[in-house]
Amino acid sequence: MQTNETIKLWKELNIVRCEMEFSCGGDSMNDTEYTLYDKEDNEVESEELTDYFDNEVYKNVEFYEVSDGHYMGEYGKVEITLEEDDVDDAVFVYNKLATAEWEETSGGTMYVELSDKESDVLKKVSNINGGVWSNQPNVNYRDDCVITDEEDEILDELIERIENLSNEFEIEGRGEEAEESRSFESDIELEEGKLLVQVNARFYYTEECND
Amino acid sequence: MKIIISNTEFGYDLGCKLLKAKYTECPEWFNQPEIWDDIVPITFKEIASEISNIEQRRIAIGCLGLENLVKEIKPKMIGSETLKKKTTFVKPDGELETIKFEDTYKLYEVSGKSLGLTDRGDRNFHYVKCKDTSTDREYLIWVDAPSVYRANNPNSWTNSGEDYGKKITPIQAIAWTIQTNVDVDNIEKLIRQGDCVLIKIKQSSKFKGDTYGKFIDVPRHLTEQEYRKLLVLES
Repeated sequence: MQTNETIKLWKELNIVRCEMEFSCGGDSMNDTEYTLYDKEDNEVESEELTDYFDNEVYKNVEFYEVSDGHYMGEYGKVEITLEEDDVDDAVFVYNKLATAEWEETSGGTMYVELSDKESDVLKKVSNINGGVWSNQPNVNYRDDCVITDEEDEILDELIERIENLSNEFEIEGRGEEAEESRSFESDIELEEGKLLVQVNARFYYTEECND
Repeated sequence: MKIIISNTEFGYDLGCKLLKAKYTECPEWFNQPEIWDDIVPITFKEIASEISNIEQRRIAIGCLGLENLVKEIKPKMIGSETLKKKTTFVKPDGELETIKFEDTYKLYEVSGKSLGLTDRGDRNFHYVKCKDTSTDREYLIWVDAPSVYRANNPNSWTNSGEDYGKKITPIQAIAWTIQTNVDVDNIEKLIRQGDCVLIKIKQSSKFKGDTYGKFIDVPRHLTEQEYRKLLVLES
């Protein structure tokens, strides 16, 4: 359908605006929905018009659908109106009213007191890490070694304590903390006898994005 | 009690057998040095039958070592062929150097019995032995002989009772280890850097970049003919 035919049909149906609802992210545009309104705000059906806008909207509006682990995507609507200075100079105007979604990782260093036995076992370990997303915490060992039942128990209890402490650890971040996003990691560095543990969480926030 | 080998956990008894295969002398940190001499090193049969976890199995085969593995499975060489090749290296000063070399591929058969496969003891299994072009490190790559045969004889059927090791060549076997979704007759050349194989697709006669009809849905194995003719560079 040509633009001049669309303008003609738009006028014949007494339409004043078209709203396109959308959400995108994760590298794709999700389902979109078009609604046409007349002067009294009644919905008007016209497959020809919605088909036309479904093609034209992407030429006139930029959508940010590529998420990168920080920027997640956007959702909102595009309002389409017809603006005309005179009869021969009518154009469709596309106005995006959207909200951008962001997620970012914030974290801090937690200091964990160690017993002498715990310090001894950790001499065999090069890294521990875990989080709600992983089935169980990971222990990486420095070298080939024997782990006795007692050492195994000490390690399990220490990791459980670190997990609990990391869940209580205060992290400041922008927006709301995402559920089940806490994680911890330590390269077994000590400071004044305490184990340094990096605790991270993902934070979610939104902001207006109308460009 | 457990034993950690290459950052992987093993039960104590199994771990002891692996340590004995890995170390020539009792490691200082081993907690029962008095039993070291009595520990029997792990065998390939035990690895095959007792370790189902793939990561543990990989570590265990590393402990056993290629030499011990080959000694134990008693392979029989059934084919050998040397290809005369030419490749180009970039020297540290940036200059190109073309070298000629000989690359030998050997095909071996191993009985299912030697591998400890009680249910398939009467069958033969096959591997191809080759060298890394730049490091001379040796690799053994297991191949499925009936599949190698089918890749090189597309209009033939295979039946389960036949020993296809006798019907395939070492070059067919090494070619089979590379798979592609580029259709037959559409490869211009192959470049290999270890496990990484680059395939240049033949240009369409109509326009540059056209790949229509050049791909297949199910990946296929390379043929002997493709390996011999199209491999132009490797390192």
